[in-house]
Amino acid sequence: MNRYADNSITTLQFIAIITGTQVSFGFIDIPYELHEHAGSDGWISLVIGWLVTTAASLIAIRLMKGYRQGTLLDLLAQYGGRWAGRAVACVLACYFAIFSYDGLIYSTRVIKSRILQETPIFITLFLILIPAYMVARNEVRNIGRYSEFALLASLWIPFIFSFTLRHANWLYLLPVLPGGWGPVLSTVPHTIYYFLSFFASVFLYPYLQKKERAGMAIVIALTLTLLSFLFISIVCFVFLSPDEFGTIYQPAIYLLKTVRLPFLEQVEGMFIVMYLLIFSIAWIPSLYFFSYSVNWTFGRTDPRLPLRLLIGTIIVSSYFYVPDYWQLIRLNKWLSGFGFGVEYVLPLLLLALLSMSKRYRAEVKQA
Amino acid sequence: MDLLRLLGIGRRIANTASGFGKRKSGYGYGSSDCISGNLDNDLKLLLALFTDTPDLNVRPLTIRATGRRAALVYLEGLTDKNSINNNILKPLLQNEEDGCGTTSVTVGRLNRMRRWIDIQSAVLQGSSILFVDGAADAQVHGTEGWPQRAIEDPQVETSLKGAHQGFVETLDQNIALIRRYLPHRNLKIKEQRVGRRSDTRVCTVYLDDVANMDTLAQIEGRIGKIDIDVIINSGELSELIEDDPYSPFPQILLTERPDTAASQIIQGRFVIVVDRSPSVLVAPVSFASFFQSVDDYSTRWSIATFIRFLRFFALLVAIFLPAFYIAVISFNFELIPLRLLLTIGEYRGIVPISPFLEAIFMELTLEMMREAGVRLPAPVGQTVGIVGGIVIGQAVVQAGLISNIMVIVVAFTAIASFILPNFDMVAAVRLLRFFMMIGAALFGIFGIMIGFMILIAHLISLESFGTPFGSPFAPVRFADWKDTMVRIPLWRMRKRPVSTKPAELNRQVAHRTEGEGK
Repeated sequence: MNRYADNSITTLQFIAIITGTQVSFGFIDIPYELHEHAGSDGWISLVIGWLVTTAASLIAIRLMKGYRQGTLLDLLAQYGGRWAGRAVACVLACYFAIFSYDGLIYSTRVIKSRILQETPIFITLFLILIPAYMVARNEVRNIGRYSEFALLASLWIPFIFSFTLRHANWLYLLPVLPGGWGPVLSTVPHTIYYFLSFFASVFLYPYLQKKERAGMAIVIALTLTLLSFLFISIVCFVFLSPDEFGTIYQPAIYLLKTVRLPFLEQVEGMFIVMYLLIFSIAWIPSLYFFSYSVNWTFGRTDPRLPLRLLIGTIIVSSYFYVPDYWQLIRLNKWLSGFGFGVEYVLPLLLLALLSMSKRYRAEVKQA
Repeated sequence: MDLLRLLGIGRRIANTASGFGKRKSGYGYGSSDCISGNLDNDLKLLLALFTDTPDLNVRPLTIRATGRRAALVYLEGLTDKNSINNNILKPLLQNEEDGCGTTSVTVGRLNRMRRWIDIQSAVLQGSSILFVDGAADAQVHGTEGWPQRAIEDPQVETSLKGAHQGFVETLDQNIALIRRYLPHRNLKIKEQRVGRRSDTRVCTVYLDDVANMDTLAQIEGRIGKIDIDVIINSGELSELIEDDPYSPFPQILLTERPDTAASQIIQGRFVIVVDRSPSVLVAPVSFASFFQSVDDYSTRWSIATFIRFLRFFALLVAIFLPAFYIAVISFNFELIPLRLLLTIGEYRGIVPISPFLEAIFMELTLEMMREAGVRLPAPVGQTVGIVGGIVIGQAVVQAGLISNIMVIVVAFTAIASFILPNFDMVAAVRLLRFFMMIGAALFGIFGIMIGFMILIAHLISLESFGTPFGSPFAPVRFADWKDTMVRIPLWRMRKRPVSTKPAELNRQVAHRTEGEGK
């Protein structure tokens, strides 16, 4: 119990971790993704995706409500036995390991393609994993601090993008719903991937200082994510004509080519480097949750060993094999399905099982 | 037999003179470690303790009032002769009628001690001891009068409007200087002693209804754990008790200004005064504390705010500018506007060495000149400026070894690091600059960013006595932003900083509202 109290996180840190993880590479990718499937109406799918995710996240919070002594795994161990907890812990450890790997490879690819073309990927990975290890080996508190700092230090991003609005052509947003609701609705599952990781709240919940605000905090976090996605999508939609869209890779970065500051010629390069701060929130909490799950399974407390193993594996494996862009997309798709199972379905399932178990216990007690 | 016993005691005292914890608990001392009451024996033992101590003065005398034999013992240089002659020897030798005998001495502080270990330490700290034949305890007079300097203007932390008194090397005077600002009975002082040989007094000064008691326990605990022979000054103590010894950043603030110390105490922090050291330690502090200066509170708040911004900007410049120069010249030349690039290229063209070597060479030169300026005596110091300015600044460019732009970068960096108010922080910044330059030379702007992220990762995990060092930036404490980047008007600063976890948060009652007094 004390362990959680000593190292509590504030509501802002909670929001920062969740929003940061979601926004990170979604911000670069989502305009293209939305436009590919739903055209200029993609933003509607985004709003629907947000609604679905909010519901799912409230379920996750509901699951944790009333249980203040530990994380989801402790809760499961209490109701379903140690092995139920271990099973879920293994699934989650896999999930977070893949999630962080995906994030790492994605950012490294972006950096390799735009900044460090000559440097081998494993060196880039090694470099970005140094700060990641320094933060993730600590407790949740430090992850919270890192995330909130990163988020606050990146508040300049919307301003730099608003420079591109000079070239905006608002007519590109019209007509609304040319193909009916069909494409819009079928795009919703594609947005799921970018909302993943709100599930972190089941790990963060016991550390939260003001638990009664957890529901509100997660809605704020998701809304922030939605707003930033909406912002970048609409900025891209009004900047690029529908025909251009298919030909341009990572439009969010492309947009910045038009911005020129008096002291900075190429804002885009600077942006990618500075954006590393946000990128890093994608993998740092996931790395921590991974090591937490592994430790929980084996009943250990020091997060460093699993972290070192995972980080070592990632770096060494990247020396031999790194997924290329198309493989990465396939990995994303697959992860999106996995994530849907873990983050959307699993809490619902657990909640149902839990309430049944509670009711059963109450009945046994009465009898 | 007698000699053996004397030596035995002498050694035992010498051995245990060390651990003050042991001494306080009185562990291991039999009755034989007390003075005997027989003057001759006691003096013999005393001389056995203090062999080869020519400055030890033993003055045998007969107290006129009682007619008993006695001896006054003191160390020559550490005592105030005037006080000994006039206030101790004179009454003892001349006063006739005095019912209570030896109390006729006219000194303020008078103790009685019977254990050798205490007596020995009292002699060494500058007290004078009166042994009276037949008395079971010795009389200890506070006659300290060691060489000391007058109170002067602080040398390192100069200020325009602050007080012109700086701390000196005597603990009691330093505490008096603080007490002058806070004449309040809640100003408490915890005294501890550190150092087996130096037996240095270390006092923790705080306001007991404001400061956080958990932090006090931590500070006391850490000081209590130190077991070292000597600490010479407060910088050593700070290194012994700080949280992360491997961090480049100072985690304890050193100040030589009593007004700064007092204002830190009011904010709920602790001031640790170390005897013989002209600067005191302030803990717990956060990163932002190193960017505050006492002048900020006596200039207009808008100007103070501007200067605060300037300092944080200077921090960024001092750490990143040379690195950025290297990155832009050797890697990411697409980042800067073309015309600027052309200008740089024009000067860089003739320089035969790589930008990294160029930058390292110039930065090292700058550091050497700075160090030379600090170490050289003032009359010779001027030559550093001439040699540095003319020979290195001008000649090196004319010879085509270094580009003009590089000289500008170095000069700008130097100026930026000069405006940071805390010397220790500047030292950390100077060191970090080199790491950033290496990062930039290897990976360009990406290397700088990695350096920055490592810096952030390090800063957020630092703690200063249980309070986060990165506050109020990470963890974000908006309430404390009133006195970090901006300095809001003092009448609005109603609360103390929350980062010190004060027991009493409120500092002033709102006495004026906005617009009042127009």
